[in-house]
Amino acid sequence: MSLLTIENLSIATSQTTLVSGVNLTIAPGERVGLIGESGSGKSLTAMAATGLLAPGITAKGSVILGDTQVIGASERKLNTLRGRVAAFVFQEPLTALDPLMRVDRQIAEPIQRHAPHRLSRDAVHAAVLKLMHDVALPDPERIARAYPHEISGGQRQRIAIAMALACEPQLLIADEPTTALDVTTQAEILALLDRLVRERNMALLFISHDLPVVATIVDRVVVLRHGEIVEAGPIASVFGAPQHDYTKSLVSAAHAFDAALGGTP
Amino acid sequence: MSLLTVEKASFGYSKTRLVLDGASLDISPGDSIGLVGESGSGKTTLLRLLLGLIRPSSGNITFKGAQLDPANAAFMREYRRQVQVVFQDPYSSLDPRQKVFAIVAEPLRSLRIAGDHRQMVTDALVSVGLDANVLDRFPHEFSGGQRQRIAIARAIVSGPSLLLADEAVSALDLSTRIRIVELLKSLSQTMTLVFVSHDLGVVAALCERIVILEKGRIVEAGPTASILANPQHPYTQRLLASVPRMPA
Repeated sequence: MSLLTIENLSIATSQTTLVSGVNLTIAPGERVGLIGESGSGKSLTAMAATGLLAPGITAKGSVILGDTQVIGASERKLNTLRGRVAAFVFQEPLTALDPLMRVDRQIAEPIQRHAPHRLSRDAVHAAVLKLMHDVALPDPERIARAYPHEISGGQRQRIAIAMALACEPQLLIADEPTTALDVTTQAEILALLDRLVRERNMALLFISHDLPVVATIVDRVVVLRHGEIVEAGPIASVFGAPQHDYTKSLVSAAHAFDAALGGTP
Repeated sequence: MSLLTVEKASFGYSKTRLVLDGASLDISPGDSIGLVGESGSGKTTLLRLLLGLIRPSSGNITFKGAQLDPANAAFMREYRRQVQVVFQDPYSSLDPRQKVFAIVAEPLRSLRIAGDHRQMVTDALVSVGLDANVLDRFPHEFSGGQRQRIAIARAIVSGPSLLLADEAVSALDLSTRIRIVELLKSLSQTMTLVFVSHDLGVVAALCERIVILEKGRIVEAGPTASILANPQHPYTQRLLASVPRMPA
């Protein structure tokens, strides 16, 4: 059975249709990339998967996450899914984290919120440190007491990933998680995500505009343009032999920059 | 003779901490140079020095043998005519209240360049691949790629010999980015280009020479092909190894 089943999803404001006719399924443990340029609807599709669309934007069709129909579900119901069935990592860790709250309290929040019973302070602290260790943060005792502005961008993104892992989700949704990072940091975060997804047997929905980045982390890719899927399939076939003209133009542009770099030294 | 020479330029906001430390750079006419580095490497500081927006704390910058002196108004007027810039974000670098003609003609007005401005602006727009009928439209009517073309037209309208670009394609989508890189590449046939970027793939596609900066220092510089094939400095090696590649 699949973890996420999106059927004939349309997303619209009162005036404009933003996404239409999107079908997408993700099986447990599967890694899927969602690629497209600005305005293609990739983030909206991911937001709709957990019912996070802004007021005034409505979704139609069917989105089944776990065994729950997301469209039309109450916030109360959705809150039991968020974090547990699917958790988000966003693009910009500086805005995703609360600037006024120390890092340990931010990681503790999802742990406490979803705990079946009240946890002791020591138990929460131990769980926070365990998560920080899992995302390979150096010196977790020190960073735990830091505010977001006191740590580097890569460290912030590790914190955001630790928060997403807190409730052991079955599906991790990462929306451009490395776009705001330097290239050497990006390589570290991609390696971390790859390891965590493998070790915890999570499914991954990875959203990006960057084709080579997507190719390093997912097996299957869905190409969106103007809110519609133009092509989908395994990385090797979509990037190796694209069928749609739009995919062809993206792949050829990515290959042009890649070719300029020459062979790996 | 070299066009622009940077000799051991340093810059710091405090005496104890330099954001650019002893950078030397020699730009000859016809060069296309990529300044590559990550956040905090000093690449934008170096560009701001080249623009005369800040002065080096120590070291020297000369343009065609004359000292770059931001306080010398007469020198700077000629310098601005010769050295123009394109910024990263075409959504914030174009005045939303002005029409395209006024935006592109701005350097002609402020540098008091004589001639038929309408014709000069039209020529600049045509050479960046825009239609002459865009003159009376506002920036918001254009896509990101078209806006960046307008910004490039503004930069070349005064006939500069050196074009500086600060992450000029980073805000653009992939299919747009490749077209703007192609445009800059064709412009670099007729003018000198200094292109600041964190994106090695773009720099490799566009520039003949690469300068690698790390934490305010130039760690490696040379022809693009040899740096990519045989990086010497450990940081350059790490940078190259980190770039995600397309599957074969």
